[in-house]
Amino acid sequence: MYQALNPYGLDYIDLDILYSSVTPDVHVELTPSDYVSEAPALQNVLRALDYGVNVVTANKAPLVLAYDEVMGRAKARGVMVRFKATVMGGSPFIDMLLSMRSHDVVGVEGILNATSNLILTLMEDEMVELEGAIARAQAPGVAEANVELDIGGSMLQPNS
Amino acid sequence: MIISNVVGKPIRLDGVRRVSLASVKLRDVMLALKEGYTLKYIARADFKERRASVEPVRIPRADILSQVRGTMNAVKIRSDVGDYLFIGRGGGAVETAHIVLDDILSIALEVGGCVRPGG
Repeated sequence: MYQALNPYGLDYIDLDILYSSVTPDVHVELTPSDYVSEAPALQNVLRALDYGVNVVTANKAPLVLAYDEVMGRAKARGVMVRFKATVMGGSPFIDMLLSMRSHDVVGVEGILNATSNLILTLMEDEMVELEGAIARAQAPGVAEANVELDIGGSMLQPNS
Repeated sequence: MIISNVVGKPIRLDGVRRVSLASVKLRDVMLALKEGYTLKYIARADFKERRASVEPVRIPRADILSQVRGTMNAVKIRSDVGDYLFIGRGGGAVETAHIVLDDILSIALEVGGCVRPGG
């Protein structure tokens, strides 16, 4: 059905095909995080860098899993990697931290996971157990589809 | 871990202690509240010790972190110069889209050769 309606469309993206037909200035990686298989973000980002394309990623997995490799590859190709949305997604925190060039940052502490904070706030305000708060938090589309990523600390841990 | 890389003092995954939120009961939240605390899921990184943790922590009600609610995020930064506090949305479709767009624009401006002061 999909194919019939979209004779020129593909239900997948092949970066080699894409990059053989266009030369983008920036590759924007917005896939969801997967810390186990690393797919597809890490491969996508490395591929883009190999093509000499600048990268913007909101997916933190590539940086958590292979920060040095990603940055090294970018440096080798003379391109940029920007990742402001990977920490405190809706705020320009990383830029501020990067600008503190003469500072010796000794520690950070805080609330870095919007979903788990929303869950705790909902438990407090509405006096519901964790399960009820998770269900509520998923409604506005804040929580990860895989809630374990939010409450298990695996999202926060990459951030910290 | 990303923050630790940004400040140039990488913390390895095995240096991160994690306590899941899954074991938190409504009783814990309410008891904390009654005793003058707010239960928060706190991430900490100590770059000297190269250690980090993520765990539910009782924060005194007077502490600014206890007043960061819902989808808001907050980070306290400690440097040799001073202490800083940064508060803002941790997610949200429009907010996050702007952050991604800002990254794209900063590259575009640089590639285009029109680097603004501070850009």
